[in-house]
Amino acid sequence: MLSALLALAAILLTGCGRPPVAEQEPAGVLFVYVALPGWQIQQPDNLDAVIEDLDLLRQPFRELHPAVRIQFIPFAEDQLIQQVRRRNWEGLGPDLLLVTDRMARDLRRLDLSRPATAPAELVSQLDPLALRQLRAPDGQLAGLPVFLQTEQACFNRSLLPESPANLKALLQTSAAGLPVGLSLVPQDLAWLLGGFGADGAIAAAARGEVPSRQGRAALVQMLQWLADANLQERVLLFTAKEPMLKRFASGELAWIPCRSDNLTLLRRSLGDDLGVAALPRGPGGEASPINTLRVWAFGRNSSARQQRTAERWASFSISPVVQRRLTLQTTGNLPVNLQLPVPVESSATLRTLEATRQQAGLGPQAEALFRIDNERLAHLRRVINDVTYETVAPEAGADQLLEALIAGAREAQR
Amino acid sequence: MIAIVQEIATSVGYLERPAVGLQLLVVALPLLVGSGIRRWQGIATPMGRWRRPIGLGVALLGLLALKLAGIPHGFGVFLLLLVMGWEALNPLDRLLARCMPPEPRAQLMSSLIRPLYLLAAAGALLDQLQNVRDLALLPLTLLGNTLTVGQLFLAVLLVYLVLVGSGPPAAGLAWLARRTLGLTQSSQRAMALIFRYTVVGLGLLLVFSNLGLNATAVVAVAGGLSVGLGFGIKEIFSNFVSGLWLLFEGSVRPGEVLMVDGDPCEVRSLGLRAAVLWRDRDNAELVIPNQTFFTESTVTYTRSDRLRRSELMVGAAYRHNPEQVIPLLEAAAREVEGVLPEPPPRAFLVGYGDSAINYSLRFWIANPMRNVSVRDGVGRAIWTTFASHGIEIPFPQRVLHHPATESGSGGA
Repeated sequence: MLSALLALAAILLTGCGRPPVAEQEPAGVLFVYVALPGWQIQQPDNLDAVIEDLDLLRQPFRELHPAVRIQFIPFAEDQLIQQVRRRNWEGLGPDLLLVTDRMARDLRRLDLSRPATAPAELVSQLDPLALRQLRAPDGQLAGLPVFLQTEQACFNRSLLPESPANLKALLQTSAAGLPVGLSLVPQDLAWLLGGFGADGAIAAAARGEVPSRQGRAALVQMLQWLADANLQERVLLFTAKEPMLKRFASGELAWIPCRSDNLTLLRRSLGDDLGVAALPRGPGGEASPINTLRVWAFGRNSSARQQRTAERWASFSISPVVQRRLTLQTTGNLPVNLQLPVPVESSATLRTLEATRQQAGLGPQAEALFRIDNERLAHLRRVINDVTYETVAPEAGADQLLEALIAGAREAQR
Repeated sequence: MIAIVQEIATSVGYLERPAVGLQLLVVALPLLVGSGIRRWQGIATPMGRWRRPIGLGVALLGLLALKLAGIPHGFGVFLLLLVMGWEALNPLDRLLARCMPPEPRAQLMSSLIRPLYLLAAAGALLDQLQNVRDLALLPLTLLGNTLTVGQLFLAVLLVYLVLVGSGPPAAGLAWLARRTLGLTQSSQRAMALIFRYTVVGLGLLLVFSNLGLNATAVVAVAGGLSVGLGFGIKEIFSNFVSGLWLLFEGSVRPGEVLMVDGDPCEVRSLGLRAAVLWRDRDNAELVIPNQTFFTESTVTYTRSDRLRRSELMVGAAYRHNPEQVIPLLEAAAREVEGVLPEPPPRAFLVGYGDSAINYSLRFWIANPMRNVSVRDGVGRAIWTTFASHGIEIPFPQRVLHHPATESGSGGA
């Protein structure tokens, strides 16, 4: 028993006798939670690809500060808030979290994270649009932007020399014998809205407003197109993203919509056959892809040393040189530091991603879709499935979608 | 494997957080001090039996103080719940004692319940510090197959559960078989063993097939093993096969009584390597390799039934008519507890000795292990009967022939 007491005392006293704060070299263990879609967590290959990208931030920092250990702990996005709440209660919360901008705001709102801090000159170099998403009314930042992920088309060059430029050409491609994939997950289908001019209607409904007649008609047209596409033999509709990516990676599909965070994994399977292009436009306008901002949120349980190390590393990750290196080596993550422009001349993929970033901005439908709670999202998914498989007519489906969005928005406003 | 260890080892990084250290102190200190209260200056303290509840109570108060101070305390609550769960196994043990015999209960607690609790506790602790689902997906290579840590862990757990936990279900099945098929108790025990081996074998096959182990690699390993079998472990394998054969053959089963070095011994268990026999005369347990029974002749009293014929030799003086002695011997044996009425005890005149007429009293007993005590009873009954009927058991005698006395002249 005496030896156990002595051991306990030794553990507790390890924090004493430290040199002055300003002179402390970053050291110790940082626990970094990485929020990912549920399906990515369950696939070791996908997880590997994500960690491989993040290692581009970790390794150079460790080379400069060998006493630092950074451990990534992945969690499903829908479990993260609950996990952070529990672990904060235990004192075992993360030092940093890599989350979307929306999740960072939620964490801050629930007081599960602390305001983000970084040197002012670095913050001034960041994308003002991104910062606007994260700034709270009191001026503090809910998180620190790290990189941007875009949405575009991925195609297999060995099957398809060029990506279709519009939706008509896309259906013609499938009619010519090349299978294409579409995901029915609402967030993955949102790019279609702009092509039919229906993005405004969705955005209005998500604000609790009744959309215009033209907006409704545009939505009906989009749903009709989906139902018609489903009738084509080689248009494959997936209710989840992961099987679509798997089949594309194995060469069974010629074209899919994809996100830039999938590129590392797809490149492993397809190599130089992987092509990236803008999403096809529709009869009503350009596609409306949604950008995702990945953000560092700061945990509440860190020791003083862990806080300092976390802030140093987060600042390191948004420095121009590190951002440029990340962009060039992953060609899937765009920088948020605008000090150095994206080297679009060096890569067609980067050129496409940058063009997509400009095209998407952070449009109204993006904000609208990400404001929807999970239950309502599940309802939207069911309606889309019903329309696609013609158990519900597009007009009725459009009404159901809009009603669900309006009701959800009004409930949230109460 | 190194990656997994490294991942888990980084958890020590939590210790630099003051809140975590405080929680550890608040929970561990009272429990450690409480554990030391058992004895003070070599004398058992009256409050020794309350040391654990006191420790838990103080820890709880400490956590309450942390809560009131606004310091994170959930980890301390978790640790305290783990300790309380462990303590709750003691009342469970006492509850099981009401319906289970001591030996199986002790084995259940030590081989199954406590280890499973420790495993669950370790898993829960790891989940507090890391994400167990993520750790379970870490890849491993085993015999040319890629599997995950989770798969390997489940496989090992299943194997352990099958090995340890297959006993009671097998015993239950054997009991059912005995009730329905009318088997003897020793057959029931043999059947329980067979069931157990079958469950273990099937369980192992299932685990290996789920792991998707490369058959070529397994064959290669088996090929290597066969060389080892030929040299180093052939005895072990021989004992294992002998044990299986004996089980199926039914010649040596738990409950059987065998003669070992002149002593009746009861077979207690038949294991993979050796059988354990109990010797009554000195309460010794003999561990005899299975192949001994396989290669040497064995004397058993319980192969067909459990009856044993015992025998006692006694001499009566020449002057007593055998027609009088024999019925007395048989009657004496019939009165002794443990002597079976059927077949009835029989006495025989077996020889004319130097000092007495020798009789053999043969009687049957139901339990071969009780031979010595029943013979003792019969022997005493014979003495009493002879004494009451004036039958002499003579000492060794010599007749001296004096030459002078035989020729008729005087002399002593």
